[in-house]
Amino acid sequence: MKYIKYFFILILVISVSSCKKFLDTKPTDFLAPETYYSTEDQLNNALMGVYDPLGWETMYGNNLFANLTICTDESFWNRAAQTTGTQVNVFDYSNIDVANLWAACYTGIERANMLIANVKKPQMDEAKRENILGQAMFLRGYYYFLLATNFGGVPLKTVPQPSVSNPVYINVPRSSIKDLYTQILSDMTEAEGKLNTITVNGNPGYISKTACQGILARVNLNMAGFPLNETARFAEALSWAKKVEASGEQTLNTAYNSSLTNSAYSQIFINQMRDEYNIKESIWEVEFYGNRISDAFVESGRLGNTIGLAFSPSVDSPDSLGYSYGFANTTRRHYLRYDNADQRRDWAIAPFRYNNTAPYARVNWTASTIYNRNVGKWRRSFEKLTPKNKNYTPTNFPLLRYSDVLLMIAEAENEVNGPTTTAYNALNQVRRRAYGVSLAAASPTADAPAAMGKDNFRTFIQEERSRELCYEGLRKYDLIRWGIYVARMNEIGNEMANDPTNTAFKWGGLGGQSVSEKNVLLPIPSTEMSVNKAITAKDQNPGW
Amino acid sequence: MQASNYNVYGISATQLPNESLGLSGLDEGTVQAPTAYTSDWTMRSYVGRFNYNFKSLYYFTASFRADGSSRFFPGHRWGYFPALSGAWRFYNEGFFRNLGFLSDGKLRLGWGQNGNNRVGDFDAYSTITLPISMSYPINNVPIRGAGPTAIGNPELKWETTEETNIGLDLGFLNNDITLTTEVYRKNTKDLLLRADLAPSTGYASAFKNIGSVQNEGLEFTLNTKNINKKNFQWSTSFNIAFNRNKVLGLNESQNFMLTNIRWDNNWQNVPAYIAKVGQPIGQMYGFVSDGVYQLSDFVDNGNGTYTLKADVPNNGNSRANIKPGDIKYKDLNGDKIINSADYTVIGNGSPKHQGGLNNNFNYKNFDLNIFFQWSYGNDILNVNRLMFEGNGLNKSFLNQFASYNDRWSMTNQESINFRTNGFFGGGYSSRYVEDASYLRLKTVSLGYNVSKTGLLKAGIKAARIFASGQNLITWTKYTGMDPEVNTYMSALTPGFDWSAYPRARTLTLGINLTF
Repeated sequence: MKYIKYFFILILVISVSSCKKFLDTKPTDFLAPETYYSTEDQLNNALMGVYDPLGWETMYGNNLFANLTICTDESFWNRAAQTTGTQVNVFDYSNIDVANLWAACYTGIERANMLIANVKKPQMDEAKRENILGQAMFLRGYYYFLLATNFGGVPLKTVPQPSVSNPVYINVPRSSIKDLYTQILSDMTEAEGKLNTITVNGNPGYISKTACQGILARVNLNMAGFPLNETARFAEALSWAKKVEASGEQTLNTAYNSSLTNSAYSQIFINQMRDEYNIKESIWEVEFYGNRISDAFVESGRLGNTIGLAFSPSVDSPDSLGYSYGFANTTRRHYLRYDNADQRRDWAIAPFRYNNTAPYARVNWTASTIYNRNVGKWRRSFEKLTPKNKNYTPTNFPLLRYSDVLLMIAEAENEVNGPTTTAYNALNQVRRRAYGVSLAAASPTADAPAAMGKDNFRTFIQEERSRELCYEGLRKYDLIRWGIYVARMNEIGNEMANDPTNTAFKWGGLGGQSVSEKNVLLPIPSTEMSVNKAITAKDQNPGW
Repeated sequence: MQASNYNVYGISATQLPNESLGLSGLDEGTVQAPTAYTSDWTMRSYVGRFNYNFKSLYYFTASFRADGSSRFFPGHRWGYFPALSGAWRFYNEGFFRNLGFLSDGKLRLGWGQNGNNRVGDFDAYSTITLPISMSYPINNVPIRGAGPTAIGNPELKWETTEETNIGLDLGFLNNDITLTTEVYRKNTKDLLLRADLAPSTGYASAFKNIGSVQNEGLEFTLNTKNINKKNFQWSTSFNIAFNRNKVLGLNESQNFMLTNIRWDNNWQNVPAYIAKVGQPIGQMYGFVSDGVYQLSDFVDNGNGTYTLKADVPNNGNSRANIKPGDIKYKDLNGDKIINSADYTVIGNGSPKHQGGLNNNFNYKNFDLNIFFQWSYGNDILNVNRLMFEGNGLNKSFLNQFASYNDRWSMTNQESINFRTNGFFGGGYSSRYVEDASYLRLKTVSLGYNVSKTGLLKAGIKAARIFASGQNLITWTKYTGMDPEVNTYMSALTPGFDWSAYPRARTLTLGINLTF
């Protein structure tokens, strides 16, 4: 046997106190939430951060007027090779556009939550603070509204994300659609009292009181329809829309620059392309800026470029016209909604195309070439800013126009009181402007047929909204809230595939034919479901 | 004590009118957002160590270290890592010495912990930043936006690995034969990883201590000197390793974690790998392939169109769009709908065993080395085939592998490949999982050392002529370019092949001269 002869005692003295300072490094490259939000300027910067996601390509920079909403009874995706994707309603819960929309909304919500939680920190003018808070609350409500109309009930959070590991905060279940709308109404209603008027703001970029009222009308109309079907909400919608009318802040645009165009309707969209503003008609716009060439900002979008009048010369395109893919064409049904005197038709639907070789002549479409026609609301030739980027435009996207408010008055009034004079007046103002006649005087050509019953008036409004607001990202959600989306889409799909006069675009029916009951909502994206343990397969939207 | 300070400042400009001016011309262009980045970290460590050796018979080492890192919040900064090891060189006991055939013998035991703080310097902190991309224009004037761009994790702490190993070193016949046997088990807990967060949190990811994994293995190395004559030597070295890993636990009581691979925009949200508690870390995840739809799956409408029978599952696509010859998946839950509920484990990227065989020959002035390497039992997810054997990404004008010449059509209904445009995704499938076991003749090199006598006159001290080849022959069933690939290398995602650069077959001829 051997014995260990030596013993060693190992002593480690760790003087924790002396180390404390040495190990206390502080971030030098960024600011911490605890110290930020301490001046008025910082609140204003934070507010711009809340607006920022609206302009992403995953939202109104592209997808919310293109990939996600373009396939309706108004238009179809103009590429035969596009046989999968949201553009043709052939996709599943792993779809990237769906995941991006979801993530963008929640990025906006988190930024709003941070700002709202810290808005009391700086010493500043109380009215300015209230206006900032009002905008942040409205935007949080609006991002939730986008989630509600696209996904139904979703995880609802109104405080900044408290933890990355506590299961209570990282596995948040879906709220009911009812609770979600309750939050949206509460945010927007509170915001309404805090916001400036559009005249004070002087631009359609900031949320104004009338913008908030108009969107509240839209939210209530959505609640009145599918899936909640709370018909009592029509009265609420009517009341909010009428507040916009009564404010005296908003009117329809009736003027136009005759050297550029020939109708007041087209002038609205030309303004958006030229970074000019008409705050009387255009109440809220997502603003875009620049060409990504002249400076380092990346605030330009794709309106007019993806959805626009196709122009794709093989050599560099001349700045006069501006490159466009022309991804969306009209349906025949939509074209036929207009009569010949309606000035909106040949603006919303381009009646010609450009030759892609010099001298880039216009070629008019004929009566038999309807499906060939591109969406023409935003035509890049009108952009003022040069040089024009091949893929990005400075064109603003309209989120709320006064004509929409008037049509909401007409629709809600009809649901509450029937097709009264109020309903007819609101509707006919929109139509008279569209025909280029005086808004004040009755017009036999422009005015809607008199003495329609309630049901006929409703149907007429459904068509009129399309005539006035087509391609502005609203149609899909209108059809869904009216409960006619699936039937209408199948109808339009079969119509395109079977139309004997349509030989070149039969494939365009795919998007409509692929719609089934599940398509009234998007699927909860795989990115959420793979991490959030409180949303399991049984919580997925029906059919996905 | 250690500290590091890191500063980067830069500007860039585009649209330079006079490129020839170089950096001086930058001010003439469109100035882009400048770069300014600073960071620092500090670390303090204490180490104590004790060595003991008794008559070259017993060895014992104990050590203890304490590491403090600025990367963690107070309360989580210090990690304490002890280690113990002992060895008994039993050959030096008289009994073994007298056995005769034994020439060395040692038994080793070890246990120890060590730590890992490999995260960014300030990943534990939440950040507010004002990147130029977060601007928003009002009245056509862009205004800088500020917002939370990363969420911190104050609970972040050291990752700890605890390893236990037993080793036996034996030498026979004057160490002409040596055998080393090693058994180890390595448990890593509080793994530091950037973990996906649910997008509803408002963030894509955060650094977390996400769970614990176990690696264990048995490894043998046998070295033999087969022939040792004056003019001819031959020695062989053989090793084989059996390694296994499994997930011991995931945080937040999750029982699995999915990992996506961002090789393509449309596939970046599709889970490719699953780490499930009690199972290997990186298992491939997706649908089980069921060939293609045959005519018998359809009702013939007589007009050239076919309707899928009600009792036949779809493939994720809407039923009306499915045509004969389309890709088909197994409906695991029997609901006739193929979706994420039909995902299952479809492959394992880790080998059952791998090893090498090395032979060295010397004959007079010639030397020859032949090295074989193998891996057995691992799978590869070959997404190149998804792209080039049926155009799963639906790209225009994309050439395809020759193997896709054979594809399903009305006149070729036996083909296992789906028809043109017959792909529908929504998940990886076992169609693209391949056995990647291989045996490879990795290296052969032959050399000749020119004898000195003649050379010295020419002023050359030594000369060697050699020829060698790498990756000469590979025996494998894998259809891709190289069974050794791993495009998105990580423990969570082994064996993914997406347009990997294959290992080159290299032939070298050379002369070394020493003057």
